[in-house]
Amino acid sequence: MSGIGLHHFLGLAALLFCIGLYAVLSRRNAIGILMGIELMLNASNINLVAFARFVRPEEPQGQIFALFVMGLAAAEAAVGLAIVLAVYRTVKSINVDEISVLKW
Amino acid sequence: MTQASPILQHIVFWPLAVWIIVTAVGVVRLRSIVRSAACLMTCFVGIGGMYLMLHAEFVFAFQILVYVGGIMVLILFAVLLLQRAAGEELRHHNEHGGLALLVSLGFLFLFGKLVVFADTWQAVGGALPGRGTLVWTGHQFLGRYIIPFEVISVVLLVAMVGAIIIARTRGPER
Repeated sequence: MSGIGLHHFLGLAALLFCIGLYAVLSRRNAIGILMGIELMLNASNINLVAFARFVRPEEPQGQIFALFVMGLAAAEAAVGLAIVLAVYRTVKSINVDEISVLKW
Repeated sequence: MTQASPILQHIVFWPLAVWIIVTAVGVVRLRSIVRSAACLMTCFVGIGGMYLMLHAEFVFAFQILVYVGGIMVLILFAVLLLQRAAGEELRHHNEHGGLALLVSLGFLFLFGKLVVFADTWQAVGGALPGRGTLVWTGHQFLGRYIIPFEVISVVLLVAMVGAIIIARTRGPER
């Protein structure tokens, strides 16, 4: 019986990414869509760290860039939620199918 | 750093994986956005456990600090501020659920094919000692990766100022 390898982590990350993609595509609520994006970013992070651990353990890139992705995700969440607040103030709704101001 | 026995690895991995997937499905399918956010938080904790399994201790600490401590608080604040919009409502999903499921399953099929037939990556065993610790990460950030590190500081500053400017109310009226 062999231990947990690279493929296990890649499979888990693929599943998590697809769940996040489904959330982005099917949610009406803008906050729900942002949560889906966070799930997708986390899946990519699992991939980065797993590759760093199993393929190139002597190189630092995987973990370092996972940390960069986390920092950018924090920035994305802050700006995204600020935009949601501003949109709610103008349109009085955060359902993305009702926000069609730019659509003639 | 000694390698844990394979059986122990399986005992740790599978419950964590099930935990992550179940809470992620909860994020997608639950009707209440507050419960979705709570599911997302437990999902982030589970993913942190995966980082621990991968010998990335500092990434684990960062995951708990940034995601569970920072992003979740942001999302919960937004939910509270938008309570009327995010609260009780009839439809929480749009009418393209079937199409979305189809696209997601298509992507899952593609990724699954890539993962199963991935023999291009030669997996080498054994984590090197001292990787993923705070001291090691600090040396990397202030050594070879100092330019991205400084750039991301500027990006974070700009994003912070931008978020405040976008979200604030203008003038005395509200």
